[in-house]
Amino acid sequence: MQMKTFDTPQRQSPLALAMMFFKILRTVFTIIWPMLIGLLVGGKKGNSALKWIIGGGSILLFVLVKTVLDYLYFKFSIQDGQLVVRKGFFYKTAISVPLERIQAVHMEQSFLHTLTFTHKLIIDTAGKEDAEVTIYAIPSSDAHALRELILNSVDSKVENSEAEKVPATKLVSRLTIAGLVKLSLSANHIETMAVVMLFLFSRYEDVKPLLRNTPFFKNLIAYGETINYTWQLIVSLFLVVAIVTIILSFVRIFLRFYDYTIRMDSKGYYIRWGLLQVKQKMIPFKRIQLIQWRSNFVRRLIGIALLNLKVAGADEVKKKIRIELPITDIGQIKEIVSVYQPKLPSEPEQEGYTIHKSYAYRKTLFITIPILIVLASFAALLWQWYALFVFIWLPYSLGLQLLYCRNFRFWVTDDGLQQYKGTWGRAEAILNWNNIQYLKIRRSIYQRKKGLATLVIHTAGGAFELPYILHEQALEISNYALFRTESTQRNWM
Amino acid sequence: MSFSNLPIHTEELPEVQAVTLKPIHPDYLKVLRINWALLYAVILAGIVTVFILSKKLQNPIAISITGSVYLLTLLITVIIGTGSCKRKQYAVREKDILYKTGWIFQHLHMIPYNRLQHCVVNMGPIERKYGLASLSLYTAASEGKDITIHGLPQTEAEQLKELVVLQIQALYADENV
Repeated sequence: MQMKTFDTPQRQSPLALAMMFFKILRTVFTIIWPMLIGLLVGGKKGNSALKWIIGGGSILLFVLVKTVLDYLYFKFSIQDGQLVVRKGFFYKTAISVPLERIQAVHMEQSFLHTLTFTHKLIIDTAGKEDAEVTIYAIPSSDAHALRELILNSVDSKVENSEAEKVPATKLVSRLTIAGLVKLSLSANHIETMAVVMLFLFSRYEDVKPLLRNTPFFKNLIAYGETINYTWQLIVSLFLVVAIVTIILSFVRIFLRFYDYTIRMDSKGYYIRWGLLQVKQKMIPFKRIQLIQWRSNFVRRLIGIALLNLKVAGADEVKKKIRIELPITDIGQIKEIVSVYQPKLPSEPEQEGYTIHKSYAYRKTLFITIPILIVLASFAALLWQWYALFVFIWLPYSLGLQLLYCRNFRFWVTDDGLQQYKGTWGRAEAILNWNNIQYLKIRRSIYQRKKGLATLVIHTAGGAFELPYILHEQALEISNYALFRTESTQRNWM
Repeated sequence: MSFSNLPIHTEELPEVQAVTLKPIHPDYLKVLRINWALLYAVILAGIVTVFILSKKLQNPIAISITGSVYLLTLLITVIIGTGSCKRKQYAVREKDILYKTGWIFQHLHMIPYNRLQHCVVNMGPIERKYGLASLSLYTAASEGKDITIHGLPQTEAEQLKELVVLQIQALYADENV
């Protein structure tokens, strides 16, 4: 069968109109919603229905016109080995991305997509701005054909020997319901609670002036002031918050990792997941710059980790499409990582190198103590001399920093570097010499006096830092890293 | 097919620490001084305007506090800036550029040519007056800014740029083989 070539510019599937409409509507709504609430709770009576119809109608008309124009003036094609996208009616944009520079192709299928046999495609490029090309809906057959076309272009640079190593679409890992439950139970519930509280407080601050005028909230605040806060009430409130947070953690984890499947072939990893919306990602091996995996204390005990494949250009813009894989069996990490680095540098059971313990004292002196002084100053306004109790945190914080130093290990081999760190939890990272962009040795006056240095190795997927190591060691690693980087013209991507 | 896998003696590798770094042009300190003078003159003009317009601020306490903060900031900028400028050094090697900067915190950047995406030569009006230029080197590193070597003689900056461009072109030619 002849594969589609996409050489003539084409529009998206008409379903994209609906997707784009809701996206633009959502963007408009996020800008104007405090105004809408203000109108709703504080608006004067009389002629209000007419105002709502005119206001709402104008917004809908604007969204509709913008959607149609965006749809009509968005065309994509593949010409001379480049993905070409032309878009915009008033502000015209032309994007040309060489196919071999494409980092990853993500396929998503919502319920509407499934009904109309279409897919959403996100094509992740190497640039830092305009990080991706989003095609909201194209027929599923076209989506698969376009992905294959891009991947074949990436694959043309993969050496044959490398291609022979892995059989076609081998299942690496699949997250079962039991795994999901384990992952949910071991989630950082305090983090979830903090996220929820922060979200609620930030939104509450936005609408507080408007809510104050409503009778319901006036009554609620008045009622709150009459409550007698007994221990039973405080414990009950805490239990309610804890239960809500655990439920929220479950929902978060289920939405994020449901049916998480990782497959691999000679080209890269194929990742598929989703409860309400099925998502697929393809990560070519060559695009991986750095691999990290981490577990919190509970997950470390039950052997669960989250593995992060850092691809080129994975900066702030691309956080929404970060590649984080849930691993329920530590053995799977070795298999996934083996394509990047055949053998973990820490594998020969070597002790590894450590960092200097002055790192803990310096962090305490320059971070913990200033924060505690600021906190104690504020607390003194309320509690006078009792504010000094804030400094009870100091020995605990110093203990944590010393534990971090004791746990920190790194290994250097012919293939690259590995790092192992954490206090209660653990975070590990591996880096290939070939993925280095540049190196930096940083030294403060104190470090110079003690013969220490911080080595920062920059890659296109993030930085790899070795703090407070011996200066001679930093130079030795740098010399070897430069030798490995400069002695080959092998492409880093 | 020829293939070799000889051991590497790390002690025989070219050493960064053995390289003699070259200080940047001393006239760059003059450029910096003019820049500071201009910047602090603008800030002073702003402060004076605010004090003239606001009657509440026209008291000895507000004037002495603002004056002290202004002078202290100026002093810190000049002392740290001068110390840092005198320690800026660079070295151009066959396959990479080394750039050392900073006084209180010293940074040594090591940038291989085969990782550079592009480079730019910048010449501001004051730098031009002293025949100086800056060379900005851009890699694909996602964190950290580009590396800019200030205070290079214009001819040297241009030569360096040419060298870097040649290296980048050689890399792409190699990729396309």
